Amino acid sequence: MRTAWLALALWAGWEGANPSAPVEIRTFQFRQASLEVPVGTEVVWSNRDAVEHTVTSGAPDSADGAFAGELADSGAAFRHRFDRTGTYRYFCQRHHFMRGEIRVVPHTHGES
Amino acid sequence: MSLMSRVTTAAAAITAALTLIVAPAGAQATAASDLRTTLNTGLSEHVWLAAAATEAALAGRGGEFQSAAAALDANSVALSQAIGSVYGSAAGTAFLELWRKHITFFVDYTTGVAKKDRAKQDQAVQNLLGYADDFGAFLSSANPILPKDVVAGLVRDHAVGLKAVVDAQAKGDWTTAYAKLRDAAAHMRMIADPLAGAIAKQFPEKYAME
Repeated sequence: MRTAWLALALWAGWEGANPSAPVEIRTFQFRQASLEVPVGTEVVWSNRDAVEHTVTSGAPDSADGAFAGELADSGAAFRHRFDRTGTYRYFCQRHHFMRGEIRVVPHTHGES
Repeated sequence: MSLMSRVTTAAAAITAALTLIVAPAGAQATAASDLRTTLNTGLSEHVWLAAAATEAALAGRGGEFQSAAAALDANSVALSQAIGSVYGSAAGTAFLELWRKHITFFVDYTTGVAKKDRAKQDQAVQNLLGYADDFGAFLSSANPILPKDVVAGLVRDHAVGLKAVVDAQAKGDWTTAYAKLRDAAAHMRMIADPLAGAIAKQFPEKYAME
């Protein structure tokens, strides 16, 4: 009985989990600067530099406010789930040369 | 002992300590020596060209300033290529952006001095000091052997040293300007040597031999 509950809990947790994709920030770069993910994916940016970076949607001359995160120091992370298809550009507010792009595409058949 | 002497002595001690920490075991490869020479030459050249540009700007010699600025940028590109050869072209590009940023702050400072605009000078100095933290973080992230705060301190010393050159140039005090310029150029070894040593330590297969 206990095993059945555990299996059920694991199944529920697995079914409810969103796919996630990492973007590492290191040496003032978004390492996965151009990333393609299926809709519903939670992208997780992790700061590995000992300095503040931001993840700000849009471009330096046209931030669009769709998402914004401040990663104060090394070890800080910011998460954002992308629920609609499209191309999302972003940059670092403190270092405008740091830029990235998330392409959110429909699920392909068979993907969880 | 003067403030400058104390700063120089302290910086030399830091460099000596860092060099001991990061020196690769055994004989250094030619590649390591070449890297150290490249960084020393490039960083020292940066100071001389920056001073040539600020002197021309302060004197209102526009054509000469443009040429000096172009040579200074070529030096920046060469430095970024040296970094890129170690950490990849994307890191080299990030380095170049950061490096150019501090040159922009120096142009701002020089403009502030030329126009006797104290607020602009103060803002430029603040930006330069903040930039030192960014640069320390960049190198420390690329190479954890290099402590962020130590690198940031050395970059602050670089900014203060070059600021002293600009201040003396603006006053027409050429004896001081050239003495400070020699100090500022020599100081770059405090950055180049530990950086080259740390890279050699990080990539012994490339920069050290049995």
